[in-house]
Amino acid sequence: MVVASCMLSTIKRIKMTKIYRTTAHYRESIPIKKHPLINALLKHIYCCLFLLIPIAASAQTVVTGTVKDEKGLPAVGASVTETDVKNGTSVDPNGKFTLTLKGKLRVLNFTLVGYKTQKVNIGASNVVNVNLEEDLNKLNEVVVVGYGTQRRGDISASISTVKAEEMNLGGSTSNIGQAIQGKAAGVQVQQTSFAPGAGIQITIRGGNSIQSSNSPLYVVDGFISENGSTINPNDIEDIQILKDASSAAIYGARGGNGVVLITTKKGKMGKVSIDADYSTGRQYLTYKPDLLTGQQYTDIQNATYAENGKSPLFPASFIPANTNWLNEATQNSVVDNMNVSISSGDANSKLYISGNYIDQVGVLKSTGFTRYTARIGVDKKLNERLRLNANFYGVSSKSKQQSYGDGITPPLFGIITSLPNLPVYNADGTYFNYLGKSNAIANLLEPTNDRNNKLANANIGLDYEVIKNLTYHLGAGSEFSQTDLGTYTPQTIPAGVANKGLANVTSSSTFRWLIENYLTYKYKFDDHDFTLLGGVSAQKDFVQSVNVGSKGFSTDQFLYYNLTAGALPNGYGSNKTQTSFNSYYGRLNYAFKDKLLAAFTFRGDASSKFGENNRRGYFPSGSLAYKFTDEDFIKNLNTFSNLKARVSYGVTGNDRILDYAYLAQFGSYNTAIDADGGLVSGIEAKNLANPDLKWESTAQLNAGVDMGFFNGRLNVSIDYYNKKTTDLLLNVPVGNYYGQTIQLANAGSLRNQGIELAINTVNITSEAFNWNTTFNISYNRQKVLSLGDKINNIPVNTANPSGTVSGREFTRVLPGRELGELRGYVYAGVIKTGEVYAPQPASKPGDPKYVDTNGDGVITPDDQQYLGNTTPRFSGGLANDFRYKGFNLNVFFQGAFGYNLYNMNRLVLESTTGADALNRFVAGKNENTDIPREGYFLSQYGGYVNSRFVENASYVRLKSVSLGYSIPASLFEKTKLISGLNVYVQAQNLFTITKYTGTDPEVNTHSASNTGGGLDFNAFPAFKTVTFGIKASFN
Amino acid sequence: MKKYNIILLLTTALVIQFSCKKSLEPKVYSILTESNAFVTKSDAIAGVNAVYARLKGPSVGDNFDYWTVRHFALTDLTTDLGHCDYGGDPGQLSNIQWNSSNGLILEDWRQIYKLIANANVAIINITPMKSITDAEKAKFLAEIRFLRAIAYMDITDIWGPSVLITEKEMAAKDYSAKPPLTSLADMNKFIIGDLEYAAANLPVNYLNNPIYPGNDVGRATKGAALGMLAKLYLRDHQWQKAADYCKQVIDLNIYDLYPTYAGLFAETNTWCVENMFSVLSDANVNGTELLNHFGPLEHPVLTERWQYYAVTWDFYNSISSSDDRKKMFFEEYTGTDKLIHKQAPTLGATAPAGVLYMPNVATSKYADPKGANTYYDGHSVNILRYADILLSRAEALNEINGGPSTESIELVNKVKRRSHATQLVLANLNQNTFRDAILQERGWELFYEGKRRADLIRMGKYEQVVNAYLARIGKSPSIQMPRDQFFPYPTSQVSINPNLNNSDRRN
Repeated sequence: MVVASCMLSTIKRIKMTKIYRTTAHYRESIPIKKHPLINALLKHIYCCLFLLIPIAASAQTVVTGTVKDEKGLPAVGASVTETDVKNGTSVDPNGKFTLTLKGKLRVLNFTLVGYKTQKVNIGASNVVNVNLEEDLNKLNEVVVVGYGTQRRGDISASISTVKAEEMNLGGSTSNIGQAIQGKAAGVQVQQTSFAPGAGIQITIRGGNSIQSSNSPLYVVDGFISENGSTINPNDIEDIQILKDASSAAIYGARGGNGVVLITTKKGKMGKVSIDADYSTGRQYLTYKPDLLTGQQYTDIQNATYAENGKSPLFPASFIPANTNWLNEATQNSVVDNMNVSISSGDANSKLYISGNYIDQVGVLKSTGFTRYTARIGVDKKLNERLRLNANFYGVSSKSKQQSYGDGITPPLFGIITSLPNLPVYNADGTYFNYLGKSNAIANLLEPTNDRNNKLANANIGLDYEVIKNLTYHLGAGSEFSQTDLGTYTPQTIPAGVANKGLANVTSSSTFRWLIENYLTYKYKFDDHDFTLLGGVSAQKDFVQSVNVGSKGFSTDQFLYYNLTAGALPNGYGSNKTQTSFNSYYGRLNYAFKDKLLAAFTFRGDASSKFGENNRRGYFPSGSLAYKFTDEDFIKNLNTFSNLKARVSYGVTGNDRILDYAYLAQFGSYNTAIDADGGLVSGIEAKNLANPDLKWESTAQLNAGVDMGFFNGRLNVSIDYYNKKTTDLLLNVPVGNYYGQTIQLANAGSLRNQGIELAINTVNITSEAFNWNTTFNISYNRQKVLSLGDKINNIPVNTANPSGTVSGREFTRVLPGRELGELRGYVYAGVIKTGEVYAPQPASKPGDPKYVDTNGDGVITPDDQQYLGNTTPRFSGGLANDFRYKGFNLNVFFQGAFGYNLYNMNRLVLESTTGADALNRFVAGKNENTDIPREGYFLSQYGGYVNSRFVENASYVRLKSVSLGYSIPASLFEKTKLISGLNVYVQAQNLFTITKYTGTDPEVNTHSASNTGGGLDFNAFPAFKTVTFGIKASFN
Repeated sequence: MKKYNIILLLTTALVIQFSCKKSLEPKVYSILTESNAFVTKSDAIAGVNAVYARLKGPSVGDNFDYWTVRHFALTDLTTDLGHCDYGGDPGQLSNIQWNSSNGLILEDWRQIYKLIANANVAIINITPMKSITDAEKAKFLAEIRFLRAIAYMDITDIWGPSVLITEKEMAAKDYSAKPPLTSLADMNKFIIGDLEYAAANLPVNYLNNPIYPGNDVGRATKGAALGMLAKLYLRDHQWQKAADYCKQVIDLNIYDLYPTYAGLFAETNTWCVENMFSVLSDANVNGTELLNHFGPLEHPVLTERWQYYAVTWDFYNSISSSDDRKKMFFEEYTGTDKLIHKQAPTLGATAPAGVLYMPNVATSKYADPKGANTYYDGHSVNILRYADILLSRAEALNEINGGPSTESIELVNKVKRRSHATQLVLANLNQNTFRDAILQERGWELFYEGKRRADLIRMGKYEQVVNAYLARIGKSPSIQMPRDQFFPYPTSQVSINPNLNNSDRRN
């Protein structure tokens, strides 16, 4: 037998085909195996059969040919089937196929996902070459939905898709938010901080929550990840954003903020391809406030002191320097981005391996972000019934100076308020310290402040066809993330001198395991199609942290790497929490005649975050859609290539509160109590328990229509939604006499309503020139309906804009209003010499003047007004993609409209180092001005939160523009090494049209809270990026 | 194929087992809950300790709550002796221009009530404990009730009638209740109850104490409780009771004046014979920010300090140069700015080159140039010390007797003698002038010890003294009694509980 098989392995291919035919009745659907072991095994079986079965003698027709796509490239993965009998094959990596005909019709179907199916009558010919045409309709695309996939045309919910080729990649893009900003209607992305490696805020259809997170749920390849937003965007194949309740409710208690389903790249069909992309760019500052010179500052300060009857702050002997501290602190810097991927695939297996490196040097000195990522994605059909996929993702990243909070301690405040009449350095190169105070540049450059993160995610998915139409899926995985913060304050700055060096290390980790099981059953009779899904899932999260510090170092050499070198301890602690979830879920999809579509989902969630009284939550949803496309009255209009109306309703939840919040917690609070000063341990209550805590729930109605025109060249989707969130998790303020300032409770409700419009068009499509446009715009209106019966309003304070004043209320959550609306006094200019302003009897000329809005004759906190909303009413994006021969130009505008920011930087600058101070009120000399004599902090009336600094922040920005050129293959064909070469230039945030005068219209330094939006204070300086890159594919 | 089936079946079974696990009771690691927080004697002690801990705070980090500095913003900045040249909240208080949204008023409210809540929670949890003896329980409750009395004493000094939360209200767990105001008389009654219980159950000191192995000098004692009773009756003008309780303290014969005033406030002197009840700290593990806030600006030794809680030049000038207490100031020095820092010869004078006229003067009381010059410091803050008791008895006797007596003059002179200050002479004084002398002496002796405003109000001199000072420095004399006897309730608390009515106070 062994001898026979060896001999037979040399039998010509034509004979193998004959054998194939004879056994086709039970093996016809086995595509070509690539695995060497399985290949060998199969050959072995064929050989045995060959010995047993006589060769059929009749003559066979063998058809060969080539299948190409619209660009003339091999249409890898296309399948070729006969129309009258079950018989077919796939094309090889070169686009070639060979098929032995079994039927009589001699008509072949050529199909490929994303392309129009072609039916070709081959007539007498035995050779057929086909060029497939791209299917612009996209209705046949298979898209990932929660726990399964669906044909796009069959979807009855509201789902936005962003594909790899549509994303804003390259340059300084390092996370999903940057990659999809402006690309999906209803998905608001705000780059709240420009700091390298900083997070991004994604809100889907307006925030539902007041005090819990409004961040969507991220699901990467079926794994619910807390780190989904930070994965390397270059690894993403596509992103589906589940926006309505019908699509998101399958994620129950966690779907309330929408769900972002990320599918990472798997290998592409075809031979092994290696792609490399390298870009390098420069980042240029865009925020450059007008600052005073040293002499100007000296004069103004001395004049102010004189006006107050004080001796000059800077006596005549003082020789002012002239320093622009912001210039000293910033730089135009470099960003490098490198991506290499290997991809391979055949009918049974796919493989994708990638590595990415991004290195971004901050425009603020001493800042930066470096990240390495690696991904492996494999998909393997193990046998006819069993399919396995596995993903591994690993990241190592490091950022420096990552904290840019909104207080006065981060480096920015010190820099913009440093006195311009002081030098940065002494003559000997040491830092100049004025009056023994620290030097802002030293504070920026000297301390070490590292944040290192290591992340690993591994998960597998198994699909097993139990019986015909019944599939069992097992998904299991785990994710581990560890973040280490290391800080050292050296003895080159006063804070370090006071402590003789201060080192701290904080290490925190999260670990999650997740197991999902579900069964999918498809059932069809007559015109009725049913798909039934049912599953269970279990998840456990562990969060752990430890921190330790020491001080009193003999040298600055150790940084934070040798804490024992510090003579004294400086704080230590550790913490661990655990969260468990159990869930079950089900979905029924029903289709009638491919016209009426319906989907119903249900999920039951239980979470350890909630008390026994309310531990379980139930989340149902339903949707209906009707395709009018094939109705005669629509067909007769000859207008629509697609017309579908959708409506859905459902309930989703939000459970993002701290663990154990429902429990009465006791924690430590130690003190010194004996003469030796040693600490004794104390135990005190840490919260006010609430055993009734439960989920926030959002009920959402969605109605939409999808329209296609001109054979799919123009597609329009319009959606209307109305979401009402109830049982809001709120920190209900309590009388401080209970020992806490708040109690977490379910109270109040909030509504978001909006309209979304998404349009994509294929304007021109021809061999040489292609032009596509995608456009989306969305409108959202939020309204707080109620805060429950225990809260009148929730005041939110700014950070303090100076060491001498505290943070003041700048927004107030109030029923009838939306979140983050600015609130303060109405500014009415300065009090002029001789002017008597009755509501401010003690004011002096040059003091700020506020409007007595309630007319009670005095300026009190009751005179504060709402001064403007801070969440954009409209946001949208417009992308145009042009391809001409080898050139590719992509121009992407993004914008947000109808909102304001509180420009607290300007407030601070006006009374410190900003050039606006030149125009301050000076009695008798400069009275025709709106700028008070010495700012707003000292006035006993009104407050620094006032209408003067509320600015319209609407903007349109050229978010990204890139021009690429594919070098003709003829130039490198002979190398045999390179198969494609593309060079490009790209610019991000190249220009912005806005009236806003602060850091950047997208900035929001209060972004950690939903209630305190729109604050521009001490943000990382904004910048634009211009990069040059080269992409190469290798054979 | 079978192999796969078996594996799949097993996995499914295993997984469903996991998923359907009924109990989702979370495992807690880093916190305690009602079921395990108060079990052993050691837990009870920890509960007591956390009440002490709230006299200051945070326990690690910027330790400036309540008695470790912020409280002085209300007790001393708002008088003739304290001054803050910074704007905002402290500036408002210093310029007598505060309103109900002043952040420091809210902070004191929050911190003082935090101690009260800790006290109530500890009482609720310790009372039913079975693992401690009744004697131990009584001691613990006495300590807790003493501390709660201190806090309510401060609450009533600041706000007068206020919300009285006891262990009963706390145990009801209705945190959205809007409790009514309790009259000052009823609050006093409650404080007296706590202090009498404390005086009856507390030891005179903690040497060889059966519960606490170390000599925990920071704990409440019988003497401290008696002293606080004296202070309460003094405030209430119940002179005889005040004098009697002072006498009881004196008769314990365990307290005396520390030999020197400077030595008393040296950072190294964490505890001495004069301390009756103090907040202790440790520069390294539980340091305060007293030095930071009190320390002089641009000082060559104590660098990087704020001079936030400073003393008015008027008050400084009122101290006789022979008085040791005048040596507690940084009245003149060459700063790191190379300028000579000193007092202006006249109000508003322009400084010549090389000179800086300081708007106020920093005190070394909590800024010991010989102490630790680290970011945090280890100063003790005296909530009650013996000199106060001596002066309090003198004050009470003056009211009882209708004038000074040998005993009362000697009580004051004893305090003066320690600082080499000019002695009072009985023959030169009548009841009024002696009262003024005691008020002035209390200022010199107890400045920035949280006593000034209460002293001025108790003696009916708040409006007169502070307005006179304001007028002298060219500011509007803005104290109005009785409006300013109490501070407004913080705005944010008024909106939670409308019973906190500011109609008769600044708003």
